[in-house]
Amino acid sequence: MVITPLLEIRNLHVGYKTHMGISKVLNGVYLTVNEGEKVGVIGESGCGKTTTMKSIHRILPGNAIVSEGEIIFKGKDILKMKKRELTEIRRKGVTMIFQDPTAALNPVFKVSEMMTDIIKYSGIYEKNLKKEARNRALDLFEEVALSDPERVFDSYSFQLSGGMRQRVCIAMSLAGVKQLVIADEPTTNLDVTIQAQVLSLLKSLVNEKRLSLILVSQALGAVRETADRVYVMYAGDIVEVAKADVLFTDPLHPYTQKLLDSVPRLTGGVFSIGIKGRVPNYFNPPSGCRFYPRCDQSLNICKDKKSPLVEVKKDHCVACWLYRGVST
Amino acid sequence: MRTIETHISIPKWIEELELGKKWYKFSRSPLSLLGLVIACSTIILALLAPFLAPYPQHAGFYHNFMESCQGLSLKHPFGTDQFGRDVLSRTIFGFRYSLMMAGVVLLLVVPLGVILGLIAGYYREKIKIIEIVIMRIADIFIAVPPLVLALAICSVLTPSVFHAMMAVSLMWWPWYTRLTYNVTSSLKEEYFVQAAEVTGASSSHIIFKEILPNCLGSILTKVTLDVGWIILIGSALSFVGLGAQPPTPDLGTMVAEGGNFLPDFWWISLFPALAISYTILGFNLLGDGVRDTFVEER
Amino acid sequence: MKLSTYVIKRAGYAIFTLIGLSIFVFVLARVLPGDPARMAAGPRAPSWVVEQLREQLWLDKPIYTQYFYWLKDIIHGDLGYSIYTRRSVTQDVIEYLPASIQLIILAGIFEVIGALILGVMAGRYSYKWPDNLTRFISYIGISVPAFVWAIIFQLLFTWVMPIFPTSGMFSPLMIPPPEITGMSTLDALITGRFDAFVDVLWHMVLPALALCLGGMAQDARIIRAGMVENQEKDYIAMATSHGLPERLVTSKYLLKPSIVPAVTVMGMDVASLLGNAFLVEIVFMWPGFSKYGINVMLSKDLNAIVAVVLIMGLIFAIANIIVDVIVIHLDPRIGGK
Repeated sequence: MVITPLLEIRNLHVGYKTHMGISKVLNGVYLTVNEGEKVGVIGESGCGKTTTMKSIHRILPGNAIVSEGEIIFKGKDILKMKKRELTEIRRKGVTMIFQDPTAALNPVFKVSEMMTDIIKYSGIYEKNLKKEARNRALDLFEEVALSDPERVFDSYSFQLSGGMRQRVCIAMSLAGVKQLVIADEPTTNLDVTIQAQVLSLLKSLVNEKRLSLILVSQALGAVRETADRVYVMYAGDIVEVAKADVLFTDPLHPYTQKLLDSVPRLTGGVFSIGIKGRVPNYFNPPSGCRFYPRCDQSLNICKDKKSPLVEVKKDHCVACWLYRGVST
Repeated sequence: MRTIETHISIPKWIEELELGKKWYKFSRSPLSLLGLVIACSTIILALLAPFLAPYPQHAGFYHNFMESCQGLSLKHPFGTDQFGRDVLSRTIFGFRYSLMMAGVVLLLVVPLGVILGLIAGYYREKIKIIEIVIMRIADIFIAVPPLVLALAICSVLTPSVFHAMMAVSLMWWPWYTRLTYNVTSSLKEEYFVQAAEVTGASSSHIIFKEILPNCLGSILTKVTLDVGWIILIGSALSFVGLGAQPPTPDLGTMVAEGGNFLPDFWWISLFPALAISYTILGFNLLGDGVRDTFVEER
Repeated sequence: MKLSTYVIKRAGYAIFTLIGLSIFVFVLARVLPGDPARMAAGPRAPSWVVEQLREQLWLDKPIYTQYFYWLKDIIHGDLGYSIYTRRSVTQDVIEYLPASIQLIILAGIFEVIGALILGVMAGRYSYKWPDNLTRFISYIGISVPAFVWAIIFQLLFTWVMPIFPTSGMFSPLMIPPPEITGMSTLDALITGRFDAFVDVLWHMVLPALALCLGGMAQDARIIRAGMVENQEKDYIAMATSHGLPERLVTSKYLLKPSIVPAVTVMGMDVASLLGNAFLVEIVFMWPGFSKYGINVMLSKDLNAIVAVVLIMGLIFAIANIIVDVIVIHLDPRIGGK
């Protein structure tokens, strides 16, 4: 049986035009989400995770250039869609939770103002009654476990705590009938004490409504717990894909290995080493594998040619020449 | 024994300004360059007026009614005024008075205003009374539209270029005090200032070596933009007859005098008016460029 | 802090500053060479009249006593006697101020509307032709002084295309409406004189335009900068990502945060409107307070000059409080401090 994926990103290239030239951030990203599946995306900061997520909604900054690739949602390419179709997808198909709820909520409008507009345009109500929108908003706030919905509804975002802001954002995302939730590091900017709460809330809501989820996160533990499959991203490339438990126990790509090693362990006595070097300069990225300059196990070929993403074990793909039988 | 060393060494603080890099940043904007060219051209015209003006004697008290109110010609490219004076020559001399006004006012106002602002900002917590006195007095002068108070001061004194300069200076210093005060108060919270305090640096060292260099960008920007504003206010004072008096070739006075001969002899007031706008435009463009170069975006 | 407490605090502070200002102006007017009593009495008055006047005006007392009596008079609404109009300055203020205020209000309205249109156009189509056009207009607006605009309009509309009247407040054949508030536009509306209302408005267009172009140009640039900056903010991306219509995102979620910085500087714009009114009213022969101000200044009428400065300070203070209240209303974060 062939399952048609809900969302499929194929060979996506995105760059940013700046006064120093074009920074080529995404270098051919592949990503698939099946119906009802929870997918995790991990990687260092600055390696193009947010750019990938924003391209799905086509809300990249004005200087971004999508030079190549397809983003297919239910058989249609989002990148080629007309404005009207795209708006439909935004309202009823895919929804996004931003990294920083403080930046994502408009500072000069009350929550009620934004919430009402979002509900009004979510496409489930025939009539645009103010009262109806208010009730719906309060219901949503209950759903995301906000303790005092009435007060939150009439507040400005600066009057709320970080955790409350992110709950408000989640409530906004769930205003319409959606199929896919993109959560772009939804807990990174929150206090450690409430990160777990918000994440488990998100997880239970996704499960309850049978939605698909893309969870972008640096918190590897959270991804391991939540996701079915995990994508590892480095410098605009997907370097490894596997089922969550497989990836975390048997990482293949040198980058994944290092990334997992860099997590401090409760059991170990030594400090984690981290990965030497840093994410490459995107104005002039390495020509072959982008991880090559930081890799201990690099081969000659790595310098000139990037390995395609190939399935080396069942359901386990990796983009590395080490697993393609290339001799040194 | 001889040691070889270069005797001309650039002081460290000049190196720290990174002038080469700043110039590169500045020169990338064509509008900033245009501003620089315009501003320089007005300064050159003002400095060399006696040599550049075709009829330097027309700048002062001169009349030749045979040639009054003549239109544009090769002999008088901007025409002549009611006394037969060459408008081009008088306009070139006009730059002198406008720029002199701006120069004198800024020379008086910037050091005074900046020092008061530094003191008020630095002693904000330590000696509250200093801050209160300085800033409240500054507030009094900011409480009225600058042109109104300048007009009033000029009117109770005898109208003249000198009094106009004094009046505008009196109006202008609080803006520098306020600007420096704001920057100083926020800089005081920065680690490098706190570090200097902890290590026991003297107040004057902290004020002049740590805080002042970091205010310079904002001050320089304001100085450049203010040249335009002061010229505007100066010409406005002359325009209503409370600044420079005829026959001084002040641009504002010339516009006002020519106003009586509109619309038939339009050139008498048009060209001085254009000269005012030209100068203000130049210093505004330059000021924008300076801001983009020196004031870091936050 | 509640808004009303804030306003009261600001008003108290403004009064304090105005008192400081009045001391400065009063001292300035008194320490100058020349005998105020002689000036008030006129050059040909006999010396006993001058002496009597000196006593009457408290001029024989020390300066702080003089100030004290002068302040007491002001609190009672008496601004002194004007040599220029030969009557009480208070009467002059009542007669001339409303005309200036209605002119400045109209100029303010023009300024806000013009700045919004230009700024939003430039911000919405940044780096495209509307932006370049706005930038060009802004630079012209900034570099041409208000009195030059006034002269240009005079020329243009008197001789080239006489659509707008270029002097005075009423057309020659128009009978002015009876005075109720002193503001001719309001009076015309109250008495139902629609023709007079239109006539006054028609006469106000050019002076108001000449007054507001400079500030309009600057505000437009500030709005444009705000929009360009905020376009890249996450909250705009989020509004778009929820599928809100583009027009709603721009006209509501982008516009409101973007105009806050422009509104903050509008207090300064009021200063330039008040100052420029002194020049523009002269050129357009507008029978207002600023024209009166220039006339008393040219005739060295000290009582009237002091009154003009203080009233300008008062209007400026009130305008600033209003601007602050609007800013707090637009951006509640500012009021929280």
